[in-house]
Amino acid sequence: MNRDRNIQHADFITAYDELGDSLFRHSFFRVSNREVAIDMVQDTFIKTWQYIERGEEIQNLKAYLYHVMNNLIIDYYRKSKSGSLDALLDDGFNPADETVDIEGSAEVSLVVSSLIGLPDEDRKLIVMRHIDGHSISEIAEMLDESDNVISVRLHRAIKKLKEIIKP
Amino acid sequence: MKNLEHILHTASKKVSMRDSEKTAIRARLLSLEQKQISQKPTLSPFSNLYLFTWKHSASLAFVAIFFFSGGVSAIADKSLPGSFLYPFKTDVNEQVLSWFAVTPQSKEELNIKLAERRLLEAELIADKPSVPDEVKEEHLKTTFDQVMVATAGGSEDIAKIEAEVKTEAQDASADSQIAPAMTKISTADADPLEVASSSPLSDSVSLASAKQATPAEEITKLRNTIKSLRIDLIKQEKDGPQKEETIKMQAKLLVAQKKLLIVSDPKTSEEKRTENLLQVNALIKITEAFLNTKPEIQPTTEEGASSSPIQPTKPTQEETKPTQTPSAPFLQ
Repeated sequence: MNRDRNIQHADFITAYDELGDSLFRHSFFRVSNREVAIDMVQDTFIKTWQYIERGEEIQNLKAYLYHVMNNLIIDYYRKSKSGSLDALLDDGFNPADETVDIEGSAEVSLVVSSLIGLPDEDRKLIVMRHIDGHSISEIAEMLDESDNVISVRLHRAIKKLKEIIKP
Repeated sequence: MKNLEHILHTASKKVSMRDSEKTAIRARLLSLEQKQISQKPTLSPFSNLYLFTWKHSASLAFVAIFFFSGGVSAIADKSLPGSFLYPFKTDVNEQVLSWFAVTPQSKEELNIKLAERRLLEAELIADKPSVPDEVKEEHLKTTFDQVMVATAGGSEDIAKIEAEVKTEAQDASADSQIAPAMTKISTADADPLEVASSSPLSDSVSLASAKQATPAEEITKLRNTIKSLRIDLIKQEKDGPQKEETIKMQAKLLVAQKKLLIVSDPKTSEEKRTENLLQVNALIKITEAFLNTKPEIQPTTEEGASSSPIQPTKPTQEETKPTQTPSAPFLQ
């Protein structure tokens, strides 16, 4: 019944063209792996489309896409279990090498290698605020928290990140 | 602080999907859309309820047509024990048939029909190597159950004959000579049989005698023939190698006896009567041929079933021959 009000396919593709890159960026800094990030972007859009196809209504497509991706990332960490840097390094993963090779940028490799030392909750906030460029209130709405809580958490997360980068 | 934010910002600016990656995902998403487009016209404004049925309408329609037009049951009807449609045949098709058989008479007829079916199937699978032995054995059991159901239906006559056949067979085997046993049957045992079937027979005589030769005697003769054939079979079964064959023969004769009972029933239509008699006669001939080839087979098992010389010593032959010849004009 709400089909006509719902998102049309053309709109959906436009949404991909507009948001694809920022979603990719988000997942890339969250999981520190280009291939995984690409897969996640695709899965996010496919899952969302299937949801729309079922006739479900989505109020805010952008927020919904981020929501789906966030769930995928949580699943990813749950599956790999080894969320810590040590475990990843043990597996022979070197974020610095990979990102330098891929992106050819010192900033990117620095950010990625330091972000990976943070817990995913902190990393999420930093990525949302400084990579995605969402405002505090936007993040608060997405995570269903008050602005205040988000500001405090973000502040602490940045502090931790600085400590990782500095020494 | 500012420095860090700047780093993060520049880092984020430098990360993006490559064009190839972007177009790959885009193509994937577009293909999702195309799938949707093909379904689009079928979506009604009223919705999700119809979504399921419309999506699968073609296949659903096909399945429905197949079922309702009896496609499955037609195929199942030809299935044999061991095939996966066979349960459909016995449990569904024949169950449906039984719903239509309302009167006791039609029920009886159906039971006979089913018994004959089982027998036919038993014959068809007998020489099929693809059917496992357990299935054959199992099927033989159900065949006998069906035969029992068919023959037991409402008549003490069969039970009586059955008891006689058994005692006769025992006597005969004790005598070890077949000839005396046969004479015994034809003389002593003819009487109770006559008594047993006299009442319906006399009715049928009064009805049918006006049109055709009296079937009453004919029927008793045929009955006695069948009885003697069965006794012969029981004897053969004891020493013969083809035990299954003889058992099947027995079952067929049982069914034949039942058919004769139906013939003797005054309510039976003329057509049915002639049809049954024809079948009974045919069966008698087959059984005779079977019994005659038997001694020949014993040493070498197979070969030369039809070409075997007739054994004059066999009493069944003498016994049954005369009954057949008069039956021919009657059946015309």
